[in-house]
Order: sequence, then C-alpha cells, then structure tokens
Amino acid sequence: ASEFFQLHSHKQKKDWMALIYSSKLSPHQIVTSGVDASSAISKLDDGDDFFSIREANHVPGDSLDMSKELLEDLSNWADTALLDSIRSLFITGEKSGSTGDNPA
Amino acid sequence: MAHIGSLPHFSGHQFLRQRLVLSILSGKAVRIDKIRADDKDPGLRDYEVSLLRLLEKATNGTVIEISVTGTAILIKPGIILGGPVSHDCPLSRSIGYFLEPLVMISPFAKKPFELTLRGITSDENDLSADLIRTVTLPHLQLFGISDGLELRIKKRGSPPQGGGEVQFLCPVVKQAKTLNFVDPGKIKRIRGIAHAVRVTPQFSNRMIEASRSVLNRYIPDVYLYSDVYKGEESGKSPGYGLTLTAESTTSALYCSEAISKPGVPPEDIAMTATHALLAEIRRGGCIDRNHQCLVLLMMILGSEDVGRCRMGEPTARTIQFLRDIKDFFGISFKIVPVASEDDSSTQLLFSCYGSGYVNINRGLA
Repeated sequence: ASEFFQLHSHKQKKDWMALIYSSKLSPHQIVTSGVDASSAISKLDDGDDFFSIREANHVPGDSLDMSKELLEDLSNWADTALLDSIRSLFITGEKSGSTGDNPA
Repeated sequence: MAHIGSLPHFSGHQFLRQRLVLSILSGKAVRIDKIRADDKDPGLRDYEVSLLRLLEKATNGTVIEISVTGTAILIKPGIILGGPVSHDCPLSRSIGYFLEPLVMISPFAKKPFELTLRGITSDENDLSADLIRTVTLPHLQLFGISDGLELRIKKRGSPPQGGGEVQFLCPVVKQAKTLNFVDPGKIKRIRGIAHAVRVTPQFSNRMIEASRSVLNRYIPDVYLYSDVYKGEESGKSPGYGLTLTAESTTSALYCSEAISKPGVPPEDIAMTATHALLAEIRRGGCIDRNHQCLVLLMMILGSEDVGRCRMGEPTARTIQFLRDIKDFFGISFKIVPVASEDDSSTQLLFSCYGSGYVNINRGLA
C-alpha cells in the first residue's frame, strides 16, 4: 500500500513509468486513479508475485474493444470563460505570459 | 520453434486487436485465453472471428487455432502478404474496427495493400472512415509512409444496415523514419466533413452552421465541407455525422467526431463534435488521444535511434499497449513530464530507442 501512496502523493506529477511498467494496476485504474483507489490498494498489498489475486476487471463502458475514447462530460463547454481559456492555443490568440510555453 | 512457456500469453477479450498486430509484426506466436470465459455467451464474437479471418487473408502462413469453446486462441503469425484483399465486415462493428489494425501492419507488407472493406463506415465505437482518411493516414506520413497512401470512401454505410465500401491503398516501406515531434505549435486551421445519407441534405448544413457558431470565434480559417452521397452510394440506412480536424502550425492534428443518434437534432450532434474538438485541443500534445497507439507503435519500429514525441496523458488503451509492446518487443518508453513553467501542464514526453525493424517481407518480392 505504501507504494501506491508514494505514486499518488502528488497527483499532478504521476510517475507514469512506474505506474505503467512496474505496478499491477489495471490501465483503467491508472487513468482514474483516486476514484477507485481503495480497490487498487488491496491488489498491491504484498510483494509476493506468486499468488496474485486476479479480479475480473469489469470496467463499465470499457468492455468493448473500441478505439474511440468515451466522451467526457462536455456540458461545461457552453461556458464562455472556458471557451476563451484556450484562445492562446490558436495562432490568433495572444500569448498571455504564463500559458504560452512555446515561443515559436 | 518457440516454447509455449516463452510466448506472450494474455487473458481476456480486451485489447485483442493490438495484441494481434504486435504478434504479426514481431513474428511471435501469441496465446490468448479466458476470452469471456465467465460470460453468459462465452468465447469470441462474430466480429473478432471476422477480424481473424481478415488477418488470415492479409498474411501468408498464419496459423490460427481456436479452441472448441472459442475462449482460447493461439496465433502463429506468417508473413504480411498485402496485394488485393477484399472483406465483408459484419454489421456488429464498423469498418474502422478492421481497418485500424490493418493500417498498423500494412506498411510492412510484401506487396502494396489494395484492401476493400464493406460494411458500416462510421459508428460511435471506432474511428470512422473519414477520421482514418483525414487524421490517421497523415500520422503515417510522419514516419515516411506517404507515396500512394490513400483511402477512398466509395460508398457510405450507416448502422444498422451498412452498405458502405472503402478502398485502402498503402505503399510498402523498408523502415519507418524516426520521429522527433515535440512542438505542438498553435492551431491554424480547422476542417470538417459533414455527411448525411438517406436523410435530408439540409442536416449537413444545419450541423455546419451550429459548429461554425462556436469555432469562428477562434480563427477565420474554418472550412466545413458537406459531403454528399446519393443513391446507391449512400448505403442502406439513414444517418449523419460531423467529423472535425484541427491542424497546428507544426502539423499536429486533433480530431473529434459525433454520429447521429435517434431523436437528437443535428445541432446537438454538431455541438458534441465541436466541444469534443476543443477538449482535445485543450488536452494538448502533438498527438490526439485516438492516435497515441499508432504513433507509439511506429516509434518503436523506427531505426536504431532515439525517437521523441510529446503527448497528453496516455489513455487506458495506450497504457495497456505500452505494456504489450514491452512483452513483444522488450522496449519500454521513457516518459517524463514536459518541462514548462506552467505547473498545471500534464503533457508528457515519450521517448524510446527504435528497434531497427526492417521490413523483411519486402526483400522477397
């Protein structure tokens, strides 16, 4: 369990390499870390690889092998402030100091 | 002859396609078991069997063994043959389901692919023929696969009856070029295709109007095109949809799509597509979420040099793909956050040392 908390102690900077290559979390758990963290911890609680309990990974909405990502909730895009927040990503947008990380 | 103990072994029906692709490209046999073993209706679905049949047609010498119950398969891949292949896709999945894995393997065939697929051209589960044409194929060009690369949408087919037909032409290459793509640039143009078959063509225009009302606030270079298919070419079922792509100054492509649903007006479909495109743009990186796997695959197949690419956070599918790549090719990526003053940025830099994969099939021709 300690390993899990180490990986997630600072949520913004996930250690993706450790999560992908050395953890046993399912891909869905990594992406939605925090949401179903309690179930994830129990899978990591021992260092013994010999007897590992495999849960049936029934992930809702993910059971079909589909390539389009499920659309997240888009209702907040009706908000003008959010629409304006990505203006700097377009060529017509002003570079607003901190957000423009690519002075091209 | 590989020992059973050493060959990659997987469980479950998920991620079947990417494992088949990796198996064929790496030449390693793969065993997949427990395919819906606990399901009321266990075993492979019709579209999965159909995909296996298609891969059998596209290759030479592939041995596919399916257990009696259909819950376990063993695949010993042969060489990727190419040439003219034609396949009727079942109506349970769209053409995209079958075309995506083929796009991944076809550059490494013995002869250029001339693949004809019939079925449903766009649905909400897989990339539509439009997206593959306008977004997936340009991603292959990043790796030097371009001359003669083409997807023709001969007929459209909406679910449930389908009736569409596409033709995919892909050249063969000796080796994929190393990718170095770290500057996402800024969005300079937005393009879109609205299609409406067996409904009033006015629906296309309504979708375009609605989408423009949002997109015009950003840049003037917005061109949404109404793609008209009539009569036989429009398939057997009614349907409509909007496909949007945004291109940056460094040719990074973002895409989104929304397909008609019963009882939803075209304006709402257009808004879903538009907002999804903006969400994708905000997520940033050089590669949109739907194409992470394709790009990562081509990166490991590149020459023995360090390839780098900037992307947003990996999706669940990409994470599993990275793990599967390690199982088949023994290559892991270095993944570090992009250095930037902006602390909230979640973009990552993926880098790997190419495997120096050379298309051996081509040499035989």
